[in-house]
Amino acid sequence: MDKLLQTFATVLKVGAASLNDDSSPENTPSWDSMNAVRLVTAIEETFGIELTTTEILRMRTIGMARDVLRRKGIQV
Amino acid sequence: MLFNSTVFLFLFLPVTYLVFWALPNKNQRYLWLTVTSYVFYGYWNWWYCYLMAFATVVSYLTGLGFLRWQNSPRARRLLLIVPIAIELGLLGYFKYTDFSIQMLNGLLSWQGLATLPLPQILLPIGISFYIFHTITYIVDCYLEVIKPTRNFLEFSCYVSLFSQLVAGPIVRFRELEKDLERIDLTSRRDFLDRGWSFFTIGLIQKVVIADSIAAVIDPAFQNVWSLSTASAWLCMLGYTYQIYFDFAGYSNMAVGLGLLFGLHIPQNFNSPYRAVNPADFWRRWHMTLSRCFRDYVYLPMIGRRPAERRIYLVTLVTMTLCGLWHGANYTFVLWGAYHGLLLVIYTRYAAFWDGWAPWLQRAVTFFLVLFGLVLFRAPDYATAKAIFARLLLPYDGAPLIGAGVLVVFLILAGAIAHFGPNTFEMPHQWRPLATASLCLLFVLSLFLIYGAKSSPFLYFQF
Repeated sequence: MDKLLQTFATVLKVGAASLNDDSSPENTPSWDSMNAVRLVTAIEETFGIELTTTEILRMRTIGMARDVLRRKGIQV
Repeated sequence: MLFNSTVFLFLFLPVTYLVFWALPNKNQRYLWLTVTSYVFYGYWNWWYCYLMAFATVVSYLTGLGFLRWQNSPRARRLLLIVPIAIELGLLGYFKYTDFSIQMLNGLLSWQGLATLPLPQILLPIGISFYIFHTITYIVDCYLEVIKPTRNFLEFSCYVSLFSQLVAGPIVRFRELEKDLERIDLTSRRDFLDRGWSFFTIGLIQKVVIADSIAAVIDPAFQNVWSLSTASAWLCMLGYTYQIYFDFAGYSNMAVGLGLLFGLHIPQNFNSPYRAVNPADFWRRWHMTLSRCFRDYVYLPMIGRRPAERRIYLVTLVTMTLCGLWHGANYTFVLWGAYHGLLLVIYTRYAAFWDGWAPWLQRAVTFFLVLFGLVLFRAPDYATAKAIFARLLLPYDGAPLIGAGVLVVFLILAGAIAHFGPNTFEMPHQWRPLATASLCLLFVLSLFLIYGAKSSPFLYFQF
């Protein structure tokens, strides 16, 4: 199972199968402002990293979050 | 120029549409849409066009700057801060100067000092919307969420696009970029049915429902002190549905117009009066604005791992700014703060709230929204106070003229808003009965437009 997708699925309380790299707040109802904050914490804890404000703001889709993590040298 | 005017429906739209589809290549289509959009905007006041052109050039050059200085963090920060300061300066000057001086005058007169004269600056229509378009473009370029475009025609087409120019939806460049890139590859017939259907439904929502309700309640709101409790409730229920059908109608027309030119404008309303709590309401009401405030105001302020108190504070500040964005009046600021408070209360007590029956959650949310709209509708605090008093305490008053008609429209509007599918949930397929009904209502709308002076959309004032 894709670790990043699983993190998003757990926070957003949806099945991982319903998410993909194009998933965003626009097409995922539970991805609201509160869950956006929870996602940052969950990603930092899961991958053992610290995200900067710019990196947090870049994560508009799961694909963009993946890109942010890859730039930090994490294989996802 | 209004969408619900004869000049738009019978001259501007047919000419723009026919010439657009006759043009063979991308740049010609960008140029044509830009020129016609400037004509559309300049129809109010040509002077407004210079302002929009200036904001467009500033943000376009900023995009080029991001391409030029990709590896210089210092230059990138300057490219973020300076153009945004210029754009916000424009918005601040035209929208908030009078308001700021009024606030200052309040303090001065309280101290017994002489007050300052108001410059009474003319507010260019739609400035809040296109400044948001350009600011979101600059921020997204900085964040590398989008790659800046080198094509000035494409960019000016995006900023000035008449379908979304004066009252949104707020469309971010990323959301329209793909459609703009293939603007010459789309077939005219691909979205014709859907586009026409969206536009017609929007027109009907505005002209038949919102304007009919407004015809009864607007005169009553002229003197709220003469309203009885029953009339005050009828008027506020009327306004709650009027603002929805007015703005959702406009948004549907914008979506339909976009489709007629092969462009997908995002959904702006998702049956907001079916919301089960305040957070759900803001996911459904003016969705494109909510997302902007989330991505460009709330998240940058919230920081990493915020404490609960910080979340509440940032929510309150964000929603207060959202209120201020709506209008330079403290009633809008109070309206925003009120919604911020509702969001905080809901977040704090979500477990308790979510335990209620769904119908109760919907009803409570709807009436909380209705109460908030008192602040939105009232021009000042004294009027808002008078309306609140009449909603909550028994008052006698003159009978409401047109109450019978209003009740009929309230039942119709309520049935559609609470139980009917929204425009994005409809099939928009060729079916004889549905198409005939739409045609009939479209003709009725035209008669109403012809018979009365076209009324502006409520959100034009922002």
